[in-house]
Amino acid sequence: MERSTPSVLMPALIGGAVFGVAGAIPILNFLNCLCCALVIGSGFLAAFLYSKECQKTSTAFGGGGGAKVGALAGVFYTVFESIVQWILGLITGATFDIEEIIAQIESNPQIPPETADGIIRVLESIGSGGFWILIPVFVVIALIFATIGGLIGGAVFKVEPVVPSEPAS
Amino acid sequence: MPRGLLLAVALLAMLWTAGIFVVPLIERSGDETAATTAGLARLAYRPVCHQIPHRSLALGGQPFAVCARCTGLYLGGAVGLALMTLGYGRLRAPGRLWLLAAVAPTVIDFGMGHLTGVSLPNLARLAVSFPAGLMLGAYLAIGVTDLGRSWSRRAGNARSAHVPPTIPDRLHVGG
Repeated sequence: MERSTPSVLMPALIGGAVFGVAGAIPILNFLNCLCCALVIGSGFLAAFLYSKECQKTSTAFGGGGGAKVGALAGVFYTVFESIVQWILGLITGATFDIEEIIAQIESNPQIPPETADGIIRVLESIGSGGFWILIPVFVVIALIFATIGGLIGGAVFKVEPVVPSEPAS
Repeated sequence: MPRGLLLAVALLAMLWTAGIFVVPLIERSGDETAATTAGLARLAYRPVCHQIPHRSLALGGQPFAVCARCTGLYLGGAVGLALMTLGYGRLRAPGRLWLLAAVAPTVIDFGMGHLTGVSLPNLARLAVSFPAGLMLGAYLAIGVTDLGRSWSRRAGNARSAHVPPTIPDRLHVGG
């Protein structure tokens, strides 16, 4: 009998939504400073949920499935984080201003002057409009880290398919 | 394919980790181009770490590209991936309890630091997070090997689907 493979959509959506919303909330999003823990978490949670589905249908699940569901969770993560961040920006009136970032860097005594100069030079050469170029870079980073989370989840929650035992002769 | 993929991922992880130590070395040269290159590199690491200088270890007075905790995690991860690549087929991932035991100190340290403001010195933070990175690297290696195997299987299936029919098959099909 042919077993149907469970869909990766719902686990990825849940993983991406839960951690994407958390990633947009101030203070909570500080967890991303721990090696993108929230982004990795989205892939890991998606892999865990997908492994449960695979267990129910006795479908094999490992790194391959984990990478797939993790990458998709990364896509949902960026979508949900962007939407919630945009909504919060509308409520609080916070805007994304490159001049403000440069002023913050300049006024931070903890950043060595040579480092601050290097960062500011890069930011100024990109310019306010060009800063949007960096968004795909962040999307790619989210995809990579969520896939890593999915791969780790695939290894941790590996599911071997149940092979029906042959009747004793 | 699984071993090649694992090797590629391990090399990428080592390159990423090496960058953490190379950035302060570039900055030390004091050259203008070097400062811009280092600035770009720091921006690349920015989305994954807060990069607060007093929470980072330093080389020649310049902070690493990421904080001490992240350095431990990436270093551990790269070592874990490298060990699993070197011991391919012989090493197995430790049980889930080992993973939990390795990750717990970092989670506790991170939580304590943010809730109470009490935090470990930089070198201790690196030492605490290293085992977590090591275990996660080992599990990542298993996941990557699995992914490589599934790609190999798919490639094998695709090849067998394109194999020309054998002579008896042709005879049979032809009537």
